[in-house]
Amino acid sequence: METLQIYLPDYFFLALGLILFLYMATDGYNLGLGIFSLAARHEEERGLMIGSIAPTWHASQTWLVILGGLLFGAFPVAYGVAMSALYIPVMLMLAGLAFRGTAIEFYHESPRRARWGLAFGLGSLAATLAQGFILGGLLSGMPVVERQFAGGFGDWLNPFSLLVAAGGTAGFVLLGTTYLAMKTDGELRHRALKTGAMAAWAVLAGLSMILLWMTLQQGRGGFSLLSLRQGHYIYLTLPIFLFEFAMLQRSLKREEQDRPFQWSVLLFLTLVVGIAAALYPTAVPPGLSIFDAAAPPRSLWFLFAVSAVLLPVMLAYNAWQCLVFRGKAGQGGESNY
Amino acid sequence: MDALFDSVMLSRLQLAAMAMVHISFSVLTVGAALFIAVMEGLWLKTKDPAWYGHARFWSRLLLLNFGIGVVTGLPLEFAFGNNWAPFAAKSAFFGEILGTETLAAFMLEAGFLGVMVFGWNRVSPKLHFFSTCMVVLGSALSVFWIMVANSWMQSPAGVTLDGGRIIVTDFREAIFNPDMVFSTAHMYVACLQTSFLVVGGISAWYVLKGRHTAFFARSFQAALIASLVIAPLQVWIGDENGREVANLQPTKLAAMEAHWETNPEGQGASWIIAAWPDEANQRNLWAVEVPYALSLLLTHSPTGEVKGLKDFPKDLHPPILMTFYPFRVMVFAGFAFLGLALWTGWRWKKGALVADRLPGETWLLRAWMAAGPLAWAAVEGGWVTREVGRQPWLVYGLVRTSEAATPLPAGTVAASLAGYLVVAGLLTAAFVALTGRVLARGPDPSTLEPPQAPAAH
Repeated sequence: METLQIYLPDYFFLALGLILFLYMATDGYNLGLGIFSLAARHEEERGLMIGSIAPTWHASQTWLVILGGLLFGAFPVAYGVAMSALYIPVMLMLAGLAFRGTAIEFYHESPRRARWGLAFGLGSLAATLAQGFILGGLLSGMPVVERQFAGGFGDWLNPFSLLVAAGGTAGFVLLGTTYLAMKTDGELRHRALKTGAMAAWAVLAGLSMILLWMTLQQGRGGFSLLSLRQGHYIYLTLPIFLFEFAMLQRSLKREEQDRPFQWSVLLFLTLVVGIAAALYPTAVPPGLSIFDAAAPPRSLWFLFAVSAVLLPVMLAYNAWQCLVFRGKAGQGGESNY
Repeated sequence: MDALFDSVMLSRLQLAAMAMVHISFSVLTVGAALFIAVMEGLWLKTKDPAWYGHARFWSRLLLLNFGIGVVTGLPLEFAFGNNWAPFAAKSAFFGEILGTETLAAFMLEAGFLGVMVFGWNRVSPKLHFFSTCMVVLGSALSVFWIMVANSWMQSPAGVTLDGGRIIVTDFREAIFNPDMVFSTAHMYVACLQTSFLVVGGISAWYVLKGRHTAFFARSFQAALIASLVIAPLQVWIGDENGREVANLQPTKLAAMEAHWETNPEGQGASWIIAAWPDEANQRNLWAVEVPYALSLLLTHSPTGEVKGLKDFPKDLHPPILMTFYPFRVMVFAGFAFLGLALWTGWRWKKGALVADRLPGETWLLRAWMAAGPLAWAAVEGGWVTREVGRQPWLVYGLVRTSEAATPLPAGTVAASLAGYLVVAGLLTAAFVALTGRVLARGPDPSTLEPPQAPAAH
């Protein structure tokens, strides 16, 4: 037990990476679809978009709740530091998610659909931008003194985090449009795929700039990809990323059924793996490691037992729910309460 | 006015606002999900399509409620890092229980809610019923784990302080802390009671209006049968809970009762019905009292000793008014529900609750309509008592609230608090308007009959 104990922070680093990926992949398409819905041609189209995610968005959003809960439980110091430093973008994200979520439930019951449709779109956009600022703010670095955040509450807003927010928005739009293409037919599907292709190029451009920036520029507290112990690992994922990107573009051009969405999800997986490999064993850059941020060993054991049993079960019933609602939207009475 | 410029006070107000908004929706989710599961189970057992119609009608309202409950609750989870980072860093146990809750409870609810609400035509009736039961289980586990976390803050057992951090020494003691069992029971039953009173109140409204009388007489009867059991049960659990508080948190109890002086030996402590506490001079300006009652309630002896607030240093006194009156709202409501249950039970025995006689019971139906809002007031009153009464502690006897807040600029917290109130206010107003619209339209005829040949995937 004693010898295994030192690996517990590693386990939670991995588990959190997995949950981050699951959140980005599943709620990413909901949020991206929300942003794309701002360009819907008419209300019926928007109703179809909202109907296509109504049965499953709760579960997608819950991955964020689990991300927060597990981060709090396993790395309470990192949780406190990051949440204090990111107070403003977290509040913005929560406000965006509040409008997005209630809009999905209220849309089909309301006599003022256009208004809730707008709340759905703008809420999704706000939440997506805020999540970009959260990730960008985290990667900008946060000074920590005595287990507390010691920087300014406006540090998260800088040109780098702006770039991450823009790239993240493009990424979620890519997921959202390719998801929609999987769920719809005809002209809407064609338009979604075209937007998806543009979003994919924007992701590539954004990511290249982010990588260059992180390599050449120093973040707060003086660190860059090159000064992190394994920062260079992220470059190793680049060939995989580029291969997936090429396959994505090909499947978009061929207007394949499910492939564009699947390649987009794989892109996100590669990205999360790359970032995690580069940061390890850092919890909050530049200096707070997962070992300094971790809860006491007994607490980690407890949460390890709980999560090791429940994560596979959760994955199973989530997969089942997605399977129940597979197929084109609006064919199983999704908006039929 | 100083409170407006004090970052800690603003963080407290913000957490209170988030908790009070969130709880008002989540109590309904917990109880309504169980109510729907019972309706669906009755349908599967009796094949009577009316039960199916009930499950569908109440599910539609549940969905409206669930969404807003989730998005108003999300900020609460993050608040422990946002506004209470020193607490988060110091007290790992709280975080791991919250983490456990997200894994064990929240995903179970969300992972099956889609099938429960939208999957009627996509899975077999049995698989659908299973999904509904999983939502019920998930919501019950949510109550359990959040009450574990909160009751541990009330009576932190199984831990020790080590270099400024709270370390768990015994998980069983920490989870099954002395406050946990009765407060969890109290909260779960409160969820059921509120939900059934709301279901009963809505049904009463339809019956009074003469709309779908036969349909809603049925849900009214179901709510009534549940209330006959729940109302006395809750009064008993509440009483047990009160005696636990007297044991574990004597300062909270004394504040709840505005009880300043410990009663001398051989004399009973009086129970105060109403009073105006004067905190500066540590006395009540006036009070209406029932002699011996407090000693009797807490010690089951007319002269049992009940510690008064003056026995404790002044800096350990919770705010009295904010503990005394919300507690009375809750207690009054609890007994009112008991009275309502007895009244309704008596009319039932007289045969007045059958569908064709029920519309004539005007006053009874009106009382049921009033009971729903009163149940909310009771839940909020109970929580204000519980949380304000714990002050000045965040974790009773271990961590003070004043040393646990993130040193945020007051302006930032004031802005986020205002923002939360505006967003929650807007969404709540929309929720009320849309629920009213769904109610005004009544049950959708297309959902009153089960699908002829349910698809079996």
